[in-house]
Amino acid sequence: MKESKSIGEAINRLSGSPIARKILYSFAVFYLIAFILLPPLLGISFKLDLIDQVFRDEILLNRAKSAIMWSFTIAFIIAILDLIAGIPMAWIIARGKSNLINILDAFVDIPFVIPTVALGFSTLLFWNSNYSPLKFLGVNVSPGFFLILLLHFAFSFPVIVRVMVGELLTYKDVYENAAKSLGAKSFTVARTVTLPILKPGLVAAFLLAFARSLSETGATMIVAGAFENGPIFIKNAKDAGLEGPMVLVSFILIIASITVFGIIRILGTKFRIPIGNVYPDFEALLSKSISVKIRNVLTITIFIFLVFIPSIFITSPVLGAISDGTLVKAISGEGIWSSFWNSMILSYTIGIIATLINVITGFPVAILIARKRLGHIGSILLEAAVNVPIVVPSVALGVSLGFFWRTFSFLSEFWIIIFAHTTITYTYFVQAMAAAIEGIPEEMEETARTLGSKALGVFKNIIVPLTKYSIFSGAILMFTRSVDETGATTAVSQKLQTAPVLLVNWIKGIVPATTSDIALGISFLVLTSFISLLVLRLVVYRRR
Amino acid sequence: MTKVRVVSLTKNYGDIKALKQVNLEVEEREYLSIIGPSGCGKTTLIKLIGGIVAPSSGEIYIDEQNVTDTPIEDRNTGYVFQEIALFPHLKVNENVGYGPLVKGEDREVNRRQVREMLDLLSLEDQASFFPVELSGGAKQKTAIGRALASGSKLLLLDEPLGMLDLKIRNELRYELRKLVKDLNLTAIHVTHDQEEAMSISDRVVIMKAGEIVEVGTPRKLYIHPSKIFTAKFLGEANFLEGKVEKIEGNYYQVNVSGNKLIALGEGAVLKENEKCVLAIRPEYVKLNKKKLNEINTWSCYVINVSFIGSTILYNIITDTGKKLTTKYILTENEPDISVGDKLYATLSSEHLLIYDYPHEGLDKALDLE
Ligand SMILES: Nc1ncnc2c1ncn2[C@@H]1O[C@H](COP(=O)(O)OP(=O)(O)OP(=O)(O)O)[C@@H](O)[C@H]1O
Ligand SMILES: [Mg+2]
Repeated sequence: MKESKSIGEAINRLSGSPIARKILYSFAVFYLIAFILLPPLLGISFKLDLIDQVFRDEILLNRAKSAIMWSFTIAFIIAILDLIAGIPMAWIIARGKSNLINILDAFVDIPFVIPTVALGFSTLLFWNSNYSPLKFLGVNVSPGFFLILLLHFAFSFPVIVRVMVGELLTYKDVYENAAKSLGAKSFTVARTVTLPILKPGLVAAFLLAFARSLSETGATMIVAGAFENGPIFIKNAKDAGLEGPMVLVSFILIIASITVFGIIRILGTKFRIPIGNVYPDFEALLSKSISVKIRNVLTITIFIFLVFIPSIFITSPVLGAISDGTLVKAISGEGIWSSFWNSMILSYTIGIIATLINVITGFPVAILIARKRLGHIGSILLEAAVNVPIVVPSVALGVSLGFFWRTFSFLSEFWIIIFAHTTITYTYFVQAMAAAIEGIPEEMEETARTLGSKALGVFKNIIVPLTKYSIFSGAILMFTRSVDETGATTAVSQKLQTAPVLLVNWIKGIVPATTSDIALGISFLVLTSFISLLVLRLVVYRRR
Repeated sequence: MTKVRVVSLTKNYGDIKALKQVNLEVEEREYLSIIGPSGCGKTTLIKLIGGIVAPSSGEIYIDEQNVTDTPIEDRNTGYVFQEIALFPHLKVNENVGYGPLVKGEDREVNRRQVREMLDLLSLEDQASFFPVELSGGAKQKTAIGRALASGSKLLLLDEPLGMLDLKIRNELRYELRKLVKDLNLTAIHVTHDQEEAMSISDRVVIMKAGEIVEVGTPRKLYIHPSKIFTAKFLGEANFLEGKVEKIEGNYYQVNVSGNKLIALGEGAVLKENEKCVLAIRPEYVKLNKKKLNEINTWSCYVINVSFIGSTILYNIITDTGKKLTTKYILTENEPDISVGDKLYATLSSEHLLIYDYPHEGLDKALDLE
């Protein structure tokens, strides 16, 4: 005990040394470049000469242009719509007093824990089922643009909510009290004080949702029909035996989105959310508890009908599975179910290891970005690097990662999948953390330093406690993303099957499975993730 | 008229009793300070008045209206937070103009009000600075300006000068009082700086462990504190335990470790043979080379001399082993006293304060916790 204390002290003292800090930061940046940035880029760039395929074909080129245009349009619409729907939801979760909120909080992650292909099928099934609210109005939603919007709205929703809840919980309510003491009603306070102060979080949430929409392939291909956005165009071209479009579109998406990110980042710091005029009577009306209730009901209704049910609809035959004996078969591990449980264990093991690696390597980078330790330009470049993995379309990402990691023949498949997953999930954590750290006044750290606290002390006593929820939600985003990732994992794995890969094989009929099997399999995956998140949440975060 | 009245106000945070059955009245246009050791509930009390936290029980009246359940935004108080809490995304002028803005004040009127307020606080030059670009003093002034500009007649100030260095603090506190008086406001000012409290307040409230110990004018509290804790907390004092031997009119003869002391105990209600505590401010303990006086005079040795600018402190020990502190204002002729000198200390009867022996014990009664 005594020894470990003195080791702790030694580490603490070491953390005060600039050299030790430099080494730590350098290591984190090295990891970012070598493990997160290069693998997706190198795999693609080895095939750069294939771009020619597209330029030689006028029709293909035009399809590529329009697909990229649509990708950005959809991503933009989705990020905005999700912000509008997600902020009130984050508010309910962060500010609600009821214990039921913990459950709502966990439900929000559902679209994230469903394997993307299953999510696509689920969306398709729901909107064409008799339960679809649109069908009720006589509207049939066939695969295409509109269904893509509905799908993307659902899977980007958790991203926004997670980031904003973290932001709201880090936020000091003294600003709100100050505004109220000056006579501002709660709606006015949110509009003119809270949200403008949380701008870094809004920008981070927007960019994550934007990027996720830009690159998602697995679920989108199920609902796209004849419609093509960037990733679907890549997928279609690949199916037709052309890899050139993949390289070209991936590159354009990477460059264009880094440009967009850079612009939003630079403008984001300059741009102030306008406060404009205040309309006291109208805003007082919106602040009334009845208005708040209406807003909450609306928010939850939107979540239930546009996010939650469409996501889990595919599990609805699960009740049948209980009565028709599938449940017994599943639990006893009969037939196709024997490999299912192995896959589940594999998925969770990979999820945990990838999450741990990213928390450790991502934290220093989040600090570098938030505190602009590498200068303004430096931190923008760093952030761009962090964002690369999530803007590369997941089909391309899979091919690229597979190509890159398999060149290291000494690596076992297990570790290749883990490295692929760290790449895929890294961004979620670092973005959420950087936004949260940016929200801590730097003076607070300086004060702690002047009181003799070494860097590690500042980290342990100030950054960690204040960003606890963001660390937690960043880790959730990563973990769930890792557990449900399908597209890229399929591309890098050969013998090993994670649960989503296995379920896709069931869904696609590669392995013969009944509807009950599929529904039950997905339910298990969702339920276990859900329960583990709920437990984790109660343990880590006992705030109510 | 009474501006603020709180009636048996209680606030518990879980097991922590932050405020216990507090009663207080603040007159209109009064400048009232609340002072007490850290954690005694000062912030809690004005947060309750401002509506920032809800009481566990009790009532709050502002302008004779029961506002106990009125939300913050409808209380119409100007609150300056201990954390300052300037809106980081707004410039100085926008911070100051926030109150009028959210009340839907006309843009032109708002601009004019802000300009006047910035003038008043000499912040014109920093009008378009963001809070991070301001010095501590300018931040505090902006926070005060923001509270004032809300047009409230009741200012609640939680250590509004706490972040400043001594010099600016001394300047700003008189400005603050002048502002409050000129604008006919009522101010409740929390501080832990006793000099600040005494120099600017009409009345001072002394708090300890969630309770109000005593309320009075600075003069009354300093010269005739009716509670032993007040004597300890406001200024400095020497304390001596003793027993009442004889009472003659207003004069009490007290036995302190075999020596008798005469104290003028106006208003004291002690009986003969009762245990008591005497308190005396250091400046009323006089040192002499010769024994000029028989009454209240003890022979002693000087054990320490501390020079602190305008005053000098001498620590002495009497023949009976009592340690006392005496204080001299530094005049042209500094007393020729050094460590080891044998002297006579006279404790002025008029300034010897006499108290009941506290039932919880002297140490506990003087404890700052
Ligand atoms: N939100 C809270 N939750 C729990 N305990 C609290 C809370 N706010 C205050 N307290 C406790 O209530 C007591 C009174 O606190 P308060 O902030 O009113 O003291 P104070 O007199 O203003 O102290 P200081 O001079 O240090 O500002 C303290 O014991 C404090 O720890
Ligand atoms: Mg306080």
